[in-house]
Amino acid sequence: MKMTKTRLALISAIAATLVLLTLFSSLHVLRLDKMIKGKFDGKLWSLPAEVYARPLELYPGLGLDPQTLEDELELAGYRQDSQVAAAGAYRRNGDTFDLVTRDFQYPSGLEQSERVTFSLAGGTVREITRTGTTTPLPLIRIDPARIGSFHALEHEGRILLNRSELPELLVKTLLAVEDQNFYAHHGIAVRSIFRALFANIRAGATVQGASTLTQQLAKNFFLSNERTLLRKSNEAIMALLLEVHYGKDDILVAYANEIFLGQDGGRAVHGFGLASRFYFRRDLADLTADQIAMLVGMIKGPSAYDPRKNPADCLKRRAVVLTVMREQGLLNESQFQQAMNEPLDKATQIMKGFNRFPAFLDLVHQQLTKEYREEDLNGNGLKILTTLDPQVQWQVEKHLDRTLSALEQHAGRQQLEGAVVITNRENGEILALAGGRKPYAAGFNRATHAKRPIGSLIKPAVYLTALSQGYTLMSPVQDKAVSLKEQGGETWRPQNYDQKEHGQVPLYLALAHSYNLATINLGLEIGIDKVIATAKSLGLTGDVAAYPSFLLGTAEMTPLEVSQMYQTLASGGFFQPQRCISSVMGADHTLLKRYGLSVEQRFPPEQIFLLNTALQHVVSEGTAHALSRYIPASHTLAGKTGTTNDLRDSWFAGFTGDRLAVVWIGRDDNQPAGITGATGALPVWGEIMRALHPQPLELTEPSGIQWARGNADSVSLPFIAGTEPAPDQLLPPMDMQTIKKETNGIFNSIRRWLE
Amino acid sequence: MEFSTRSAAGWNNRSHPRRDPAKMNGLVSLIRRPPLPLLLLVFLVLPSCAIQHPIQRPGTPVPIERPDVPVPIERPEASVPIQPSPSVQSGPARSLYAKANEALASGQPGQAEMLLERALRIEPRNAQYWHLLAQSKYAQGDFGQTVQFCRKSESLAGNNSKLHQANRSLLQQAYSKQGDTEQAEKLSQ
Repeated sequence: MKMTKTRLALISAIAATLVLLTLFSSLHVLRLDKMIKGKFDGKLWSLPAEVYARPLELYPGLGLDPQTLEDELELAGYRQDSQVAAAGAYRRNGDTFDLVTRDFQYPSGLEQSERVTFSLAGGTVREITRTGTTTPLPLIRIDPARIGSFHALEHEGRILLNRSELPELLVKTLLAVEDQNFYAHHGIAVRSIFRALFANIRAGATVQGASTLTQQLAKNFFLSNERTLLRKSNEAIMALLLEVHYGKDDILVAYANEIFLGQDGGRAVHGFGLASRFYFRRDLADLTADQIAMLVGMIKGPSAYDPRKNPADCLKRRAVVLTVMREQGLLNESQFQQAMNEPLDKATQIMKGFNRFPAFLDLVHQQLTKEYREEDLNGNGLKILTTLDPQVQWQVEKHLDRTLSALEQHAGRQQLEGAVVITNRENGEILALAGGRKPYAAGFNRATHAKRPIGSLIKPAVYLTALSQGYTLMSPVQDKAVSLKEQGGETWRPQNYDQKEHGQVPLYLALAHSYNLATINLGLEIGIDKVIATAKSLGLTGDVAAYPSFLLGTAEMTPLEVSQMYQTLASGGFFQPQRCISSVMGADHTLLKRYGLSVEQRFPPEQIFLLNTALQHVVSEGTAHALSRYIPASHTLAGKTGTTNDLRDSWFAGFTGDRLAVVWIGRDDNQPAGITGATGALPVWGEIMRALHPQPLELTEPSGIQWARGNADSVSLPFIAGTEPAPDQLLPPMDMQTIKKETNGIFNSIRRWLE
Repeated sequence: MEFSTRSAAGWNNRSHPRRDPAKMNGLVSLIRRPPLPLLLLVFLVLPSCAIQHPIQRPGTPVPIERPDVPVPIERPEASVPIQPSPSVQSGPARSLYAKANEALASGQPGQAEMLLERALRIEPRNAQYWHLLAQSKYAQGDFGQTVQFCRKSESLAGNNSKLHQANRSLLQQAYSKQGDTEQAEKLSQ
C-alpha cells in the first residue's frame, strides 16, 4: 500500500514533468512552425518589381558610335565573348558587331533571341543582317537593361527561378558537394552528423559540416549566424518542419533562390539566378562547368572565395568542387581538365547599372505609388518598362556636374545645384532626369520637388495669348516704365534686366530680348486672367493668383512641371501627359497597364507656329544667342531663358528637332547664385545637347501662313494670312536701328560675362 | 482606357491551381516517411496546423488590357485607301508601319497601336504613322483620340494632299460616331 503510494507519487511527478516538458517544447515547436510558414509563404515569394530602360532599336541609318553601343550592351548585361554562342553575348571587331539578343517579353508578346551582324562605320548603323547570312533585317530591338528594382526595405535583388530553370549539372553538383543524401533524409542526416563529428575530432578542428540543404535553408531564412547548441537544435527542428510541409523540389528551389552568394555594393546577391548575372553576365542556363563549380564553391564563404577579392582561394575552392564533379561522374577526364584550365577573369567584370539612376527611378516610383499599393509594388514581381534612354541620361549626368564645376570657378558662385529633364519632343516620353549634380546619390530630387519661381519662362504664355487675340509678331509693344498698386497698397515698379526702357518694339523682339516692361504692358492689355488660362492650357497646374507679377514669372514650378508646359509648345500645340513608364506587366508577363500615346490639340497650329518662330529668334538674336557656341545657328533651335530676382534661379527651356530639355540651376538655400538663365542654365543645356548630336529644328508650316518683312531692315516673319502688315503699318526704320544697337550692346555684355 | 489597378490589390489571396498538388506532396511524404517522435508533439498538440499553405507563387494579377485578343475590327467605312507616301517607303520604321497595317487589317488594333508607337519613336514626325494610329483608335472605338491623332497627322502632313484627304474623311466619320454632326458636316463641305 505504502509502496504503491510512493510509486504513484513518483509516476505522477514524472508524468507531470513530462506533460510540462511536452507542453513547453510543443509551444516552442509551434512557434517555429508558425515562423516557417510565415516566412516560406511570405518572404520567399516576395518578388521585387523590376524596372527596365527603354529597349534600344537599331536600324540602318541610326547615328551611334561603337563605344556608346558597348556601354549600352554592358548596361544591359551583355558580355563580350570571342564565341558569340549564347544569348547575351557580343563580339566587337573594329566597327563590326556580332551579337545574340535575349528573349524578351514585351507587352506586344515574346520577342525571340536573334543573331545579328552589323557595322557602325562612320558612327552610323550600316546594313543589319542575320549572322552568317546576307538576309538584311530592317530593324532589331535589343532587350532592355534592368536599371533597378523596388523591394520593401531590404536591399536585395533576385532573379527567381523555378525547378525547370535550374540546370541539372548545377543541381547535381550542389547535392554532391553540400548534401549527398538530400533526397533520402527527413531534414537532418544523423549519419552525417556522426561522420562529421569523427572527422572533426580526428582533425582537431571543424573540417566538415553536417548541415543538410534543408538545415542551411532554415539557417539562411530564420536564424543568426552564431554557433550555439540552441541555434543548432532550432535549426534541426525547423529543417524537420520544412520537410513535413514542403516537397523536396520546393525546398531545393527555395534554397537555390535564397542562397547568399556575395555583395554588390549595398545590395546582397541572393540566389543562383542573380549570381550568374552578377558574376558572369549570363543566364544560369548558359553557365559552363567551371562557372557552376565556382558558384557552388562560393556557398561555403561568399566573401572568402570572392573571385574578385580573393581569386587564388576562389580557384582552389573551384578545383575542389571540380574534383568532386569528376568523382561523381558529372565530368569526364577531358571536361575536367578543360574546366580546370579556365581562367577566372570572365567573372571579374562587375555588373553595372543596378539602381544606377536613382532620380529617374524615384520619378517612376512616384508615378506608380499613385496607382498601386506599396506592397503590391514591392512584392509582386511587376515588370515596369520605362522610357529612360541611358545614352541621354549619361550625357546629362556627365555635363551637369562638369559645367557647374566650371561655373563655380567664377567668384560669387558657390554651392550650385541643378536639375535637368529631357523628353522626346513629339511623344512626351521622359528620356532622362537629373535631380541634382551627384547622379548616384539618392536624395532630394530637385527635378520633381524643387519648386522655384520660373521667371521669364512664363513669357511665352503671355505672347501666345496676344497672338491668339490677333496680335502679330510685328505688333508694336510699349517697353515703358509702369508702376502698379499691389495688394496692401505698395507700389510695384518692375524693371528691365538692363534697367533701361526700349520704347516701342515689335512683339517678337520683346520676347526675344525678354523685356519685362513690354511684357507687363502687353499682359495688362490682353488680361492677366487670359494669360493664366493660356498657361493652364499649356499644362500649368494648381491655382494662380491673378497679380501682374505673374506676368514676370512669380509662379513657382518644378523643372518637371515646366517641362510639361513647354512640351505643349514643342509638339506643336498638342498637350500630352509626359510619361516615364510605357507599360507595367505582371510577374507572368500579362500586360497590366499600358501608358500609351494620347494627345489633345489645345492651340491652333498657326499661333504655335508664330510663337515657336519667335522662340527661334530668342536663340538667333535674343537672350539665348550664346547657344551658338554649342550648337550651330543653322539648327534654328527654339528656347527661352529665365532668371529670377537677385539671380537666385537660372532657367533654360528649349527644343531641338528631336528633344525638349529644361535646365534649372540655383542654390538649395535659395541664396543668390550669381548667374542668369543665359550664363548658368544655358551652358549646361548647350553642353548636354551638343553631346547628343541634336537634329535641327524645322517647324512644320501650317497652310495659310504668309511671310513678310516688318520693314526694309528686318527679317522675314510669318503672319497668319490677312494679318501681314500693310506698308503704312510698318515701324519706322529708325526705331529698328535703335533696337539693333541695343541688341548688340546686350550681346556684348553677355559675351563678356561668359568670357 | 481607364481601368482600376486597385482592383488587383488582393493578389496574394488569390488561390492558385498549384496549391493542390503541393498539398498532396506534403501528405504523401508524410505517409511514406514517418516523422521523428519530436514532430509527433506538434501533431499531438496541434493536429490542425500540420499541413497548410504550400508554396505559393505570387498571385496572378488580373490582366487588365489584352492587346493580343483580336477585337472585332471597325475600320472606317469609306476610308480613303492610303497610298504610302515617299517617307513611308524610305523611313527606317517602315517595317513597323507595314506590320501595323497588317495587324489592323487582321483585327488587332491594339497590336497596331503598339507597333505605331514604336514607329513614331523612330520617326516622330511622320504624318502617315499618326494617321494610322488614328485608324487604330477608330477601330477600338476611341473616337476622341481618333480626332486628336487625325489633327496631329494634319499638323505634320505638309502638302501631302492624299493624306489630307484621308485625315478629313476619318475625322468626319469620327465626328459622326461621336454625334458631332455639326463638325462632320463642316468637313463634308
